[in-house]
Amino acid sequence: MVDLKHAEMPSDEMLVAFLDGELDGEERARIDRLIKIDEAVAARYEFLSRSEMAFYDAFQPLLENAPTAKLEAILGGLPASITGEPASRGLSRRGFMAAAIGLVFVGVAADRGFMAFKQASSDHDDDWRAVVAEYLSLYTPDTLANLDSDEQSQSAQLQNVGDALGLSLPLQAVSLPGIPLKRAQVLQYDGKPLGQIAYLDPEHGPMALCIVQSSSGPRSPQTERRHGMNVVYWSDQTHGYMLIGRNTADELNDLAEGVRTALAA
Amino acid sequence: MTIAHRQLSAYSRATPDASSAADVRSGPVWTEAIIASEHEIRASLAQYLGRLWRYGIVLSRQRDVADDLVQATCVRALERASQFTSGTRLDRWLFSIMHSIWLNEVRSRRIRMGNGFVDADVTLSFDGEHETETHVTANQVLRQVNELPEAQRTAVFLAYVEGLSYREVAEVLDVPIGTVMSRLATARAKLAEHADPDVKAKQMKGGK
Repeated sequence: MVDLKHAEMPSDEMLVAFLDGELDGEERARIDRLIKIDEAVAARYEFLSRSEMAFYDAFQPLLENAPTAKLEAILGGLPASITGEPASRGLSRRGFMAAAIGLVFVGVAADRGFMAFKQASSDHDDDWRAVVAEYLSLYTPDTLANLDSDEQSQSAQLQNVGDALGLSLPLQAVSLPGIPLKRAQVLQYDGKPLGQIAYLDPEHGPMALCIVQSSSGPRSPQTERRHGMNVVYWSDQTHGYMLIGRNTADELNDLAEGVRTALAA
Repeated sequence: MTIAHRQLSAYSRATPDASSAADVRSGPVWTEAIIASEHEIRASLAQYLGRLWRYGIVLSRQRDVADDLVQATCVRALERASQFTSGTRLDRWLFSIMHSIWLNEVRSRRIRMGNGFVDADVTLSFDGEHETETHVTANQVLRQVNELPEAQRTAVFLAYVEGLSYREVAEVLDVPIGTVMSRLATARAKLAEHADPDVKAKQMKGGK
């Protein structure tokens, strides 16, 4: 025998719309009545009601963590379309849009966002260095101070990092003279592994050698500044590297050369 | 089926910007009006940057992509300032711009580039050590929503976090209202599945 009430079981869509206050008078009254008189409907309604969560509150921290200053700098740096400013920037509006969509990481310090756009077509090579620099800028000597530095655990960490990156990372090759290695870990950037080997320079504080897989081909070392730190970056056939710290550019270059030679050996 | 126009209550941020931007466009000289309108929108954009970024995170689950989405959205909003309809809400308009950029340009390109997508919950793990300590419950909610497929996740976010009506969600996502209903129903069934049945459901919004 067909249960008449059962035949009236509203869809989940209707129950959820009821729950969300999206139904108007008649429908609303009908569902309301069904929930009251039909146990099966009431049970389904009760089940769906369990999905009521503090959605609004849960997403609030995300709002608080938005990089507001950076976004404001981006907005402030956008050329006006009608007033003819774009030409003076040497950047067409259309090109600008293409660059913006081209997933170019905009310089975090935003002095000013435009610098990054030169690289629009270059395989967003810069992105990860910007992220690493931003990340490392949060480190203080205390961040690294209390880590165990025994060779065995460090070699194990390096093994992990190497495995993630498809690279051999012997402890000797990535050791820096007079600058203790503190930790090697796998982070991720853009869904791919990013190896970070952190050092603590007694004089200049935290330093890091970071490695990602890269297919953009070998490139000889270059230097740049990010977040008040110096960066030496280079790449080989399979990986991109960057050494970053508050040491002088010359010093970093020497250290990078040592690592580069050792890893190539 | 009939859908009531729900009053938007979840949000308290004032939106005088929408109407003031529109007023300017009724000025006598059309080009001037557009300039003024772009100017107005630029000024109003500033207050929505955080919420746009958050929607970018919900869509892409990656901070750098969210940054780029905000930027691209700002550029396009300024370009299309003249298309902004008077009397409508600027934040909804911006959400729909971002959504279309995400869908048509960024997402498709990423997939073509073979970057694919990271697993749920990876977005903020890069600097997770700074962010996860507080709000354990909030994080659980965040995690559950984050694990929903993109179509459901965005509908849940727009409806329950941003407080959009079904109709507004449909407009932002550019889908029929029935699709919004079915995405929300599926999402809720999934969320309910994981919820603790002993805990009395909290009423966060509307309904009843």
